[in-house]
Amino acid sequence: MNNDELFVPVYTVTELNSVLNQTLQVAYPEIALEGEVANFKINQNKWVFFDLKDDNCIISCFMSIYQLKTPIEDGMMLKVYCTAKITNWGKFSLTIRTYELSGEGSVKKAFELLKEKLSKEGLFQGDRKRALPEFVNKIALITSTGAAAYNDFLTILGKRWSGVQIDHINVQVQGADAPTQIRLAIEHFNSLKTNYDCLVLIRGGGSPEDLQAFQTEEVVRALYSSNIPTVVGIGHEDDVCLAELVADVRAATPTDAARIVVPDKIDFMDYLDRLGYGFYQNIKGKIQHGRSSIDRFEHLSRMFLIDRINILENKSSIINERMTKIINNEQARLDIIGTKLEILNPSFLLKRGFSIVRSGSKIIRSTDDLKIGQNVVIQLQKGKMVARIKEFL
Amino acid sequence: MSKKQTINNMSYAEAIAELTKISEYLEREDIDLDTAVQEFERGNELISYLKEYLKNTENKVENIKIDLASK
Repeated sequence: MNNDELFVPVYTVTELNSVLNQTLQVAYPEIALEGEVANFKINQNKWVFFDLKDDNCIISCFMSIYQLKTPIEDGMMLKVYCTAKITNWGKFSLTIRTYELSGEGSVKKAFELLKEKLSKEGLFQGDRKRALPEFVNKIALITSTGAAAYNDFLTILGKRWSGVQIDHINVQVQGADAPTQIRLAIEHFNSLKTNYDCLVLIRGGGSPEDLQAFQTEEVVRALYSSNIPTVVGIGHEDDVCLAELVADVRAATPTDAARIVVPDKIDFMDYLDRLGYGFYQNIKGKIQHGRSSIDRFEHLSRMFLIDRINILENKSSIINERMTKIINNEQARLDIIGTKLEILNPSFLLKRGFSIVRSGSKIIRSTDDLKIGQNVVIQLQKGKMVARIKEFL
Repeated sequence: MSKKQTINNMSYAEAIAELTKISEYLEREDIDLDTAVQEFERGNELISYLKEYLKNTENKVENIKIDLASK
């Protein structure tokens, strides 16, 4: 033994393993690491193994299947949060607590894989989407209090409508913890007895990494399982997130979400005014109709009476005509009789120069009724005389 | 149509539902004028109530705290 050598304790293998692990725990309680995935595999459907590498080195990683939130494939860039240990088999290994995809390529790839898987299960089908009620009373809101989305949503909601109850759970909307927080919030609202009309999940725009939580299977499945109809509004212009695909209603932005869940009270008050006017017109019409029925009846009655009067007048004028005719006829007859009578009137004869001879009161018509020397009275038109019969001619 | 709850206790969804019924009812030809006028008056009351509600009632926000640690 070299006396210049420092005293080095002699460990057993187990002891060394334990000491080194304790040292690692103390020196590196949490490690953040970024690298490219290689040799990804899943054992017995329980344990996930892969390596992270860069150009020079490679490190083994391990986690349980329950932590596999987004699909991982060889070649993806990953950012992991982990602890380090030396296994009992002497392998230096990182135990992953949580991970994120990093780099646009990885994110896109994971997105495609997951989208395909969930789509095959039918999570995005249109016919399962539920309609929102026309008028909401209670909204379950999930977003970050610090985000502009929160304020925008509430402001627009307040301008548009009144009397809504909004229950809000504050969550992280990006970062490694976001998917779990969002899921827990969705599950919590669904567990309450409150009759929420809709569940609104919103955030503002951001990079694909920022929006990663809305691409996770955890959030998608939580939205899919929600009994409360879901509205997802992410303020971005790019491709649609998986959370937006599974939602019952997709809003273009948080502000748009507010426009979707409630109507505009100005428009609605216009509608109420028009409705009220419509009622008034309707009632007015009914009253008019009633009046005109009465008028019609009155008119018909009057027409009936006029008709009857006309008939009577016609009849009476016919009667008049006939009476006049009859009277004229009678008049004519009387005239004829009158003329005849006049002719037969003795005065008429006397006027013509004839005279009337009477003997006493008897009118003499024949000389047989007379004797010579008899006195007779002769009546002329003017005056009378006594004459004695001298001889018969 | 029998008379329903006092208007002041109604939510606006309930008020709007009744208003819609009244609107459909008044479109009918076969109702008598007395009933029509009653429904018309009720409809106007509902409209006034809704407009007041919309003008004056605020939205209410409540923050709910839950345990968000990973489960």
